[in-house]
Amino acid sequence: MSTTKSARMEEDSVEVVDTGKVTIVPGTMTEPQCATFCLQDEDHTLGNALRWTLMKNPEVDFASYSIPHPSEARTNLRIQTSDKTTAVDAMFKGLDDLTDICSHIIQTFQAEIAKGEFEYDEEGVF
Amino acid sequence: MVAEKKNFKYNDMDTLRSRVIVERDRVTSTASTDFPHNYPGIDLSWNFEKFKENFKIKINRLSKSEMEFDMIGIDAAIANAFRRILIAEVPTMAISNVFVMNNTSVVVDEVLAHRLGLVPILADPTKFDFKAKDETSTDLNTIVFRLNVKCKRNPQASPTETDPLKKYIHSSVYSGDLIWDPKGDQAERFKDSPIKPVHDDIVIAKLRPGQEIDVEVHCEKGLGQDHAKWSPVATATYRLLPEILINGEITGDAAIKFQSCFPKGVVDIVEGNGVKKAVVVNPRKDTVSREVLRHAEFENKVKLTRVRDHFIFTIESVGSIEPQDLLVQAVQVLMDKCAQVKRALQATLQSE
Repeated sequence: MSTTKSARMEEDSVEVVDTGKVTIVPGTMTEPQCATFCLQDEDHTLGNALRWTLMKNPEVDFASYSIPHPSEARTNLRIQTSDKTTAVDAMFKGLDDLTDICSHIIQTFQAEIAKGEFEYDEEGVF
Repeated sequence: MVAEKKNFKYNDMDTLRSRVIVERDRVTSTASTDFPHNYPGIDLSWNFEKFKENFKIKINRLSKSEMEFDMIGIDAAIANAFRRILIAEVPTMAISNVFVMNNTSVVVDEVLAHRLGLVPILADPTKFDFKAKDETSTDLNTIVFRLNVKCKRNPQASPTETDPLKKYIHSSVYSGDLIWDPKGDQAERFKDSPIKPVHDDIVIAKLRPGQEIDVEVHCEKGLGQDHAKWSPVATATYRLLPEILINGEITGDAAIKFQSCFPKGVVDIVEGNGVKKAVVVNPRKDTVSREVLRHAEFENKVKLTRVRDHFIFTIESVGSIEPQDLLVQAVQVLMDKCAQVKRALQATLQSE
């Protein structure tokens, strides 16, 4: 075994974005207001959470996801919007909203932990 | 969150929006409908400020291995994402390769390897990299343990001794017999928290005099979705806060019967003016067995519901990551997913 720390550092600095991770299913974007995105290696975890934030957007007329086949690790996410926005923009907004929710949850949780207003039992099993 | 319900009527809009309704033979109003354009006159579109106002976390109990907390003001779609991530997508270190030099025990190699794999390893996974299939092992992606145990007769034992633990030396191989073999600068990097199995007393195999196990094991970073041995939790679950609504008053003998329909501590009997009255004091303790709905005398007197956006989470860690860190890491994983999808979508749009 050898240390490859320096090699790893170099790798980190070059950001590799896999373009196959998110694709627009061919033929589904007949106009900018609708599209079906195919998310590689994602499941209900992101699919359903994202569907919820998308549906919270008043400009989104339709948002839904499906996993076409259980043996293929991918999720299809369909978005249709009003004329005021586009499917791609709605997708970005959905992702941003979900990120906002997550960072607020971390903040709230860490503040609660710091407050220490709970029963603490080092070895406790309840 | 919709304000606490005082109103017994249960098919009004507020209840349908905010409560799951538990009936005698079915559960209704299960899906969330809090979306824009769904209810006239109510703006349900996404509002981060409103979310921040309503969102609460209350930690009830915490220990080294378990945590119970309430997460209030969030949709099941997101709460469930955290539960799923806790089980399957928070990385940990686990034994994934076993090199058998010698194994003369009755436990065959593959069973031994499987048993070793399930031993939780106390090592901070954030300090390691994932090892790709074609990548070679380095001190940044692999932890090495040696397990070399030989069983012998105990010369000090009395000839009539029958307990194998006293009669033999090393009659049982424990997880504590795994000796960490630091590679590269691991000894330096982990000098404050030496790497070892979480528990020292897990029986891996049993030996008799002359039998020996000599193996080298390699731990790698992985996800619970590949194999349960990488799952950082024993369980991560949530339930919705139960709610019991009484129509009018339940008094006298009926109150006693009413109380007995629920687990201890849910319903109290209050005496006033010589009349016994049933009062719901702690619906959280209710198991929602629905026993109360089986009795005709309580028909139209009681409604059972659950608060749709009040999640009571229980996280039981396997021991390698403390439960309070587990939740933060799980939320972080979801954030990373969003960032990754966003970057990938941008790249896809650019390449088109």
